[in-house]
Amino acid sequence: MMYSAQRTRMLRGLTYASIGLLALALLMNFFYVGPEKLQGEVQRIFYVHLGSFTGAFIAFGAALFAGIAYLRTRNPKWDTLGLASVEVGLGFSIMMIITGMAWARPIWNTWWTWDPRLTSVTIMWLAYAAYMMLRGGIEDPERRRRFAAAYGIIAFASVLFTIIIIRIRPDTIHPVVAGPTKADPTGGFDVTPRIRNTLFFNLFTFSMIACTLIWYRIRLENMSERVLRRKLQVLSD
Amino acid sequence: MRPLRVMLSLVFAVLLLSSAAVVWGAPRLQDGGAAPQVVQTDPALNGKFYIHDDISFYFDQIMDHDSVEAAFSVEPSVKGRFSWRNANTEQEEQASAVVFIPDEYLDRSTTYTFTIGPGAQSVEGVPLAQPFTLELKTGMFGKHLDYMAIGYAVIALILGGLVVWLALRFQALRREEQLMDQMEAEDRAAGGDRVAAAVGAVEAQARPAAAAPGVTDMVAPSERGRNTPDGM
Repeated sequence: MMYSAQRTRMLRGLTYASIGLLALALLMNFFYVGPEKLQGEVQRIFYVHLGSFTGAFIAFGAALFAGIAYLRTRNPKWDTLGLASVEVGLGFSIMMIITGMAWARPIWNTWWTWDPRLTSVTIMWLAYAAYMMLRGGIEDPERRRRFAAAYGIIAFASVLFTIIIIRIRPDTIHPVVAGPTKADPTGGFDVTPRIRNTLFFNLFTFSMIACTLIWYRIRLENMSERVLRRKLQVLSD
Repeated sequence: MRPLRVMLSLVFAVLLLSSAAVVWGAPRLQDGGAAPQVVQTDPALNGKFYIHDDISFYFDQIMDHDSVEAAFSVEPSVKGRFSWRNANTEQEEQASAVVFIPDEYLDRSTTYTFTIGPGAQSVEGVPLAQPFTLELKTGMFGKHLDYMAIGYAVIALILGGLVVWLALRFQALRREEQLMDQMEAEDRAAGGDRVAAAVGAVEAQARPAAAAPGVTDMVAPSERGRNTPDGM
C-alpha cells in the first residue's frame, strides 16, 4: 500500500504538533503550575499520569471500534488498527501504572497496594497483554483477525470497569478528581484554574501523541506486510 | 533474695523517676499569670521549609487571637491569613497554636524572618516574656522532588522507547525494501534471466581470479548469495 503525499504530510504535521504540544505541556507542568500545597512536587506526576490513562483509553477505545468494524466489514485494515491500538495502549498503560507507583510511594507510603482501582488496572493491563498472546497463538490469519476483533471488544469492559470502580467502591483510597463518588454523590472538580488548565492541556497532548503513535504503528504494520509479500513473491519466482 | 529485692527496687525507682521526668518535662499549658512563650514551631528552626508550607507557632498558654495577629510580622512581607488550633479541644477560642497560611507560594531560596512581638498576650492579658523570632530559608523546590523525577523519567523512558522502537523497525524494513528494489532493477537490467545470471556468477567465481580479472564485478552484488536465506 502506497500512501498519498497528502496523508504523509498530515502525519508529519501531527508528529510536529505532538512534539510541540509535549514540550509545551512539560513547560506548563514544571513552570506554569506550582507544587500542590499538601503533596508538594510529586503532584506534578498527576498531569502525565492522567494523560497516560487518556492515551490508553483512546487506544483501547480505537481497538474496540476496530473490532466492531472488522466483524462488520471483514476488511483487514481494521485488524491492523486493532493491533496498533492495543500495542500503543499497553505502552500508555505501563506509563500510567509506573507513574502512579512513583506518586503513591510518598503519598501512601507504599509503591503498591491491592486497592480496588490498582487491582482493576492490573486486570485491564493483563487483559490486553492476553490480546497480544492470543494473536501470537493463532496461525490462520482470518481466524486470528476474527478472534482478535471479538476479544478487543470484550476486553474493553476492563477499561470501563477501571473507570467506574473508584466511583462505586467506598473502600478505595485512590483519589477521584472529577465526577460523583460514594462520599460525594453530586461530584465535583475542585481545583485551581492553573491546575485545571494544565490538566486539560496534558490530556489533549497525550491524546494526540497516542493518535500519532497509532498511525505510525499502522504504517509500520502495513510496511511489514508489504515487505513480507514481496519476499514471498521473490522467493516464488 | 536480698540482691533481687535491691535490683527490683532500683528498677522501680528508675521507672518512677523517668515517668516523673516525662510528666514534668512535657510542654503543657500554664495556669495563667506566667508570661506566655512559644514552645514549638512547625517547621522547626533549621528544619526543611518548602515554598508551599504553612507556619505553626505553639504557645504554652491559651492566647488572645487579636493581639497575637497584630503582633505578628514577616520579613520580607507576605500576605496571609491565620488559623487557630488546639490539639486538646475543638473550640477555636481555646486555641494555643496559631498557623500562618500565606496567600501565595513563598519565594524560592529566600530567608524569611517571622516575628511575634511583645504585644502578643495570653487570654489572661499577660504579654510575651520576650519577642519571638524564627528564621527559615525556603528550598529551591517543594517536597518529594525525587519521586516526581522518577515519574517523569519513566514517561521519558517508555515514550522514548516506543518512538525509538518504531524508528528502528521502519529503518530495518526500509533497508529490506531498498534491497528488493535493487534486486528487481538488476533483474530487469539483466533481461529478467536470473537463472542465466546466477549460473554466470557461479562460473565466474569458479574461474581463477588471475585468469579473469574483474569478472565478478560484472555480476550484480545482490545476485551473490541470492539462493541462500541469508542473502534475503
